[in-house]
Amino acid sequence: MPIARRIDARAWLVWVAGMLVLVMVARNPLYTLLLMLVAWWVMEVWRQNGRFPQLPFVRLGVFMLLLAALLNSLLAHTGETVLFRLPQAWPWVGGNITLEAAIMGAANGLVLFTLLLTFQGFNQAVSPGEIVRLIPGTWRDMGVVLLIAITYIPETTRQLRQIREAQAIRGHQLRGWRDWRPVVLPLLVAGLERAMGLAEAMVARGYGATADAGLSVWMQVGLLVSLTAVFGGWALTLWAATAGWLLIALGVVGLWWLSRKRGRRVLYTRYHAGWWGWPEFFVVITAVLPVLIILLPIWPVDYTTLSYTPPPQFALPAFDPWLGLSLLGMATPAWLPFILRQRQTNDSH
Amino acid sequence: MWKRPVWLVWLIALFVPLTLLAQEQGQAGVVVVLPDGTVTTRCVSFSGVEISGYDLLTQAGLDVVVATGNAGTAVCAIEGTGCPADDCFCRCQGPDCQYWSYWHLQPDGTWAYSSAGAAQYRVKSGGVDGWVWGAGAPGDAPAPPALTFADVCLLETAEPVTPLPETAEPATNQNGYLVFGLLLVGLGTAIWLSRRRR
Repeated sequence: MPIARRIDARAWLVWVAGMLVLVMVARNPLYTLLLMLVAWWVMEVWRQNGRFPQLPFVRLGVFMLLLAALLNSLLAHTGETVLFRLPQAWPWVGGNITLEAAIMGAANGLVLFTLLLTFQGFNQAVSPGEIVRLIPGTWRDMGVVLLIAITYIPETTRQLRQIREAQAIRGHQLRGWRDWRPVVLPLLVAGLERAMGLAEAMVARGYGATADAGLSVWMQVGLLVSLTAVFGGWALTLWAATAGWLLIALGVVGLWWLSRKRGRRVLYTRYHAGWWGWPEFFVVITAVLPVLIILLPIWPVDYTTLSYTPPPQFALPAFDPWLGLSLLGMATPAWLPFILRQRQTNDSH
Repeated sequence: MWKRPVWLVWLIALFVPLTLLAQEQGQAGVVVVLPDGTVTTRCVSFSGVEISGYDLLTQAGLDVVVATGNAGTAVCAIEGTGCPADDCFCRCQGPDCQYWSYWHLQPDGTWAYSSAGAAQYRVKSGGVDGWVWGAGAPGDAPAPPALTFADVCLLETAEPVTPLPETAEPATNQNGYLVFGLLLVGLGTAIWLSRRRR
């Protein structure tokens, strides 16, 4: 079913940042599992056929979990519940293989899989052009390079599919590795052609021909002071944490302000202006709230349930219902399109 | 022209009270029970209203060995009892598993087995943390002796005290698992419906 209205990339960035913070802070696998399902739901709703290579996510998830569990149980021998024993003489892997180490590995695999789904959902919902548009004018050159980098794999995949279809029409079949030559060579040639075309298009649009790339003296001083504040604050956190973080915050604000000031000298022309309405506002609010609940320990919830350490002895992870319910805020981008579609249908009648 | 720096002033105005709040002095206690039954208590003063269990232990002036890995920060040895950092759970590699179990003193005077690691748990001013060497599983671990915050911090006593007769049980989490199950089913159904609509 088509999406009624896209959501602004800035709101998506806040959602991704919120997901990253939650996944990294809430290391309890029960919370991670909920976040994984939320990310999966968002990805399913925003999936656009042909836009990105679709991966077999169920198999991939199982594989990641099993691999992480296997590696951790082979390398960490901590835990009371011994599943089996490998000869002690075997380097690295020798010793007890325990259930606790396997569970810890699987929990780490779940975190990785959740991150993968989060970024997949983001990639489905936001076009590369929208991402590049968010980069400040100061970093315009980096933006172009980034655009080329993030479109490389989807472009190549699309080209590979086209070449395979073209060869299949001619009766070509892929049986062994030698049969890949008629596919790989055109792919290589097409890739080079694309690179040449891109380079010509960039030169034609004046890429790199900047008249004034220098920094004024006060801007250089500001940059130096801001960077010193960031690194000095970092060092200061070792002795005085609050003052150190305050200094880092001031340095980051300074860097952001300088970047914004310099970016104003670069003019952007946009075919599609960004849009910001109540759906974007709603996505941001519902993404920020769970993060605030988890990061600011002032709410009446059990913060100890956020962490889970199975070794040395297995115990079921605890679960706070209110913390779990708060994570559902991250699912807003999944159900919002249905509301938007309903409104669109009502408006058209 | 003056409008732009206004938000900077607001930012500083926000941070200064937070900084002052963080400078408030707190106090918490640590109780360590060694294998021979010796009970060592320490009172730690810190800035702010709370401190992590890990910081509380390391600031207590005890000889502490820790290891940091992907499972978080683990306490390997206290006062020479335990394992080296490179093999933190050397006494827990199969049955008869022994390590430093971690406890929190509850307002009703009982000890609760910690469900969180010391680095994650925040001890509020007036709280007491306990560390006991021995069988570490929630059901088997012996609780630290009956003490209060006043015993540890106001009297600064290290007199032998009577251990709690029964082993403290971890809190049950029935409602939590019920809500978790409902959320799991709800999200699973939502994903299934989204796939079907495609």
